[in-house]
Amino acid sequence: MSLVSLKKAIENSNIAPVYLCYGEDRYTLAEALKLLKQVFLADDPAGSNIEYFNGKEADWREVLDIANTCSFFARKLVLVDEIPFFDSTEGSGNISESSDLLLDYINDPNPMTCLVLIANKVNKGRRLFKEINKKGEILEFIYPQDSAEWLKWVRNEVEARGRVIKASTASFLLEWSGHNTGILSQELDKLVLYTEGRKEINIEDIKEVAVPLIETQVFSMLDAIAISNTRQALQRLAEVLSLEKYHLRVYTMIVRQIRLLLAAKLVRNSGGTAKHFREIAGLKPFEATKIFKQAVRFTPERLALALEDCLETELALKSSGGAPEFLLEIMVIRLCQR
Amino acid sequence: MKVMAYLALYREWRPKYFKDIVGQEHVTVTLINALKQGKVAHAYLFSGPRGTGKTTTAKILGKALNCSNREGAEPCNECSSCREIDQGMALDVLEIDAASNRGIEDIRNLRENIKLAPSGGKFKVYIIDEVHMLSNEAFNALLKTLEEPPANVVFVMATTEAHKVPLTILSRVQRFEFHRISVDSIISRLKEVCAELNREVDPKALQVIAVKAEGGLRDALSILDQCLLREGPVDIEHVYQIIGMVGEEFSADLVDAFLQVDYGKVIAKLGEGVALGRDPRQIIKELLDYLRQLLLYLAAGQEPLVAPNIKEKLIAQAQNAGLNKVLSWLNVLLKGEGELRFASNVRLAAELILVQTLYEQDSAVHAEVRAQVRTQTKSSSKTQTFIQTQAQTKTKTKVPAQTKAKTEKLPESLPDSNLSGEVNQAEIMAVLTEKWPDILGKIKKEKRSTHAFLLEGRPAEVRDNTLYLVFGDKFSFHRDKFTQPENKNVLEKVLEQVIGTKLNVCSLLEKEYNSLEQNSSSDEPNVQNNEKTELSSEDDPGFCVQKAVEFFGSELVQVKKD
Repeated sequence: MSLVSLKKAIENSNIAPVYLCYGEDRYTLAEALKLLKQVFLADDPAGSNIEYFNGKEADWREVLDIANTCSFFARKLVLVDEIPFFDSTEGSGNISESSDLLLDYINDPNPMTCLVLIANKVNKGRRLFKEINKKGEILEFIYPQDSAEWLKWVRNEVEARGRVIKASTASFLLEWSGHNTGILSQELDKLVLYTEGRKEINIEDIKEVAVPLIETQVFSMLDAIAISNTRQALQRLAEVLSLEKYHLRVYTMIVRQIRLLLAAKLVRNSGGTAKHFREIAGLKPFEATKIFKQAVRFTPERLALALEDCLETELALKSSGGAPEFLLEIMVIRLCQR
Repeated sequence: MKVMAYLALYREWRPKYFKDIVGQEHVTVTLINALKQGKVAHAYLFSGPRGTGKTTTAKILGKALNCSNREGAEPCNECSSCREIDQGMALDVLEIDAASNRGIEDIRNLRENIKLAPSGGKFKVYIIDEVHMLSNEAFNALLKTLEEPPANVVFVMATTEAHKVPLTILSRVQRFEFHRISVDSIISRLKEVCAELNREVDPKALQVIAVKAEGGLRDALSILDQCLLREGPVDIEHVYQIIGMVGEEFSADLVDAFLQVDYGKVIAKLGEGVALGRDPRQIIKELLDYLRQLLLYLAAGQEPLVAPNIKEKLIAQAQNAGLNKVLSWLNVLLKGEGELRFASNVRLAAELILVQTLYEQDSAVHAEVRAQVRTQTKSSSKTQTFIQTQAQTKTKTKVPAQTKAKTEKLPESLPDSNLSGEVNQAEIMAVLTEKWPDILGKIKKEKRSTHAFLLEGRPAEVRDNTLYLVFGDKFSFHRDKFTQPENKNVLEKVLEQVIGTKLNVCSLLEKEYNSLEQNSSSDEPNVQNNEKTELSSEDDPGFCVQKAVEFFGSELVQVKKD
């Protein structure tokens, strides 16, 4: 939503003199900064009216002097990344002094300059946050919050690249490559190039070109185990091992998944819901829902026995009991035999 | 005469065009389209196993970006730019080894240099190999550059360990995962090379090379290169010699010996391998590889990746052995392989491992036989079946003299037609006494406290599917603790594993056992009566007081209610 409000401000030539940008969605944040830069580059294509600073290394007097200086023919954009004011304790040494200088500037900003402060995280209780909120604009960049929002995001991105994607395919892409806007955007760029000459992106293209998440492969491996399809389970394991060299990490992921499945199954059996399970397990909503659904395919007894198999494998892995890949294969075969 | 320096096959046959790259179509198609449309990303990450074409693709991309006579997306490989890149002399395509330039200073230098325009070509291409080796600080320094590199700079990072690259970098680059190259694709490339060099190589030998290369074409070409140093045709034996293998046929013979339970043949075969100069560790490793193919065939129906002449034999062996037997062999061999690394006498250790594998299998067969014997006592009609099984076992089993005597002791002690309950119970008892130390060992692994209590007990007799366990009179505490279900169950479980049948356990003190013997009017004591005796003594208030005295001493304390 922050990107939308910024676009609107640009359209209305209503750019605020001070912005504070923060949030987990660094990709959208970077896109927003690109938009701002385009506006200022339109004024001066040489880019001499755009200044970059790193907030941790910069001398704030110098930063604010530059912000207060007017350009001859254009407005000025001052970008300060990694501002330190929300990281340390309020009032400590240089930070306090710089913070006071910044507060003075915020109270009386140069209208010809757009000062953009970028933070990894913020403290909404701090005076600085409150002052910027009053005098400038705060833009928070967060990931889409639920499946519907994620689907909408993917479809919009695909459309912006001149292609179409079905909802089910978009959903598959999200599961395959994970819920990270930056990575998804890169994958979409690749998919668009790979599918040149076609309008629609399909699941086969995704499987061919996009890099899968290890978690996704572990999940589909457990799907295969659930129906005792050893061949498919071993194929998935091979794919996981091609993505992750550390066998113990792969092993840990499998065990984590089985443990979560057991927990989900027990919650299910006691009449609990997916939400209840998510609260207990502390998982993200989409992961909790997926596991809760997958748990239907197992019995608690089978999962408990599977954990015993895992334990045997762990002992062998940690006591030089053979080649790790082979031990994991034997574990998967045993899990399928259960 | 000018002597040309020898160029290794993998360098000579390194692809120069996108179309020559084997098994990575998902990468080449995307890159070709990007080049055609002028949509080359500013940063790529090529990840995947070694020898699959990551650096080669990066170099072709570098050439294509700077080539002055590009044909479509392919570089011409003839212009000065292409030739300079091929010779490693280009100023605009820089290959950086991140393993030796991993610090923040190296990346700062790089940041300074990328500001400079390309010297002759259109793009500056930085190929950063083994990028996962960069330090955290170096990655952070690189991050900003990756976010907004100058328009004429392209980064290509290559790594075998993509999981070590921070997420912040991953979300700023186009990542391509290079796949392991299939055995068929490797074989077809090797055939192409052999045909071009006019060399005759046995197709079975090529198959072995392709399998051993584990999806890496560079490794496959390196092995082939070594094989071709020999004059004349190259056969499979020659490949085995080059890569130090005993060969799949050797492993197949060992599995045959396993199936025949032939200890002598197993030892002789190992000796044969050692006499040929093969390392016993390698022999066991190859046997494990072979058994893996057997396992994958049995469990997942996967086509065995072995030489074509061995395939049928392997399938027949797999069907003959069955999944459980293969798993039990693997169980012993895998543990043994780990121990081999620390053995001072490797040959002896390897012999022990092979014999142990057979012995475990043999023990499992006998446990099965004993289970059948017990079934016979219940139903006389099954006697004939047992005798047949015994006869089959005898004909199948060829063991060395000592082991033979030991393993045949059990069937010989059983009368052929008059299998009475007493004989069966006595037999179980004999096995139990013999295996008692093993049973204690297993219990120690399961639960140490149970093992501690059991140290004071001994198996006295087996009657009516009940094992009478006798504790010395001084060890009533141990007996009582052992009687608790969590301890008793452990023994019952281990007994079932070792002797293959479920036995109840009745624990008694020496005096209780003796009085039971005296009071017993018949030869077959009634277990229920015994349990009753045990129970009735525990129900007796005097018994409880006596127990309390044993535990807490004999001081009398009066408790008054307020």
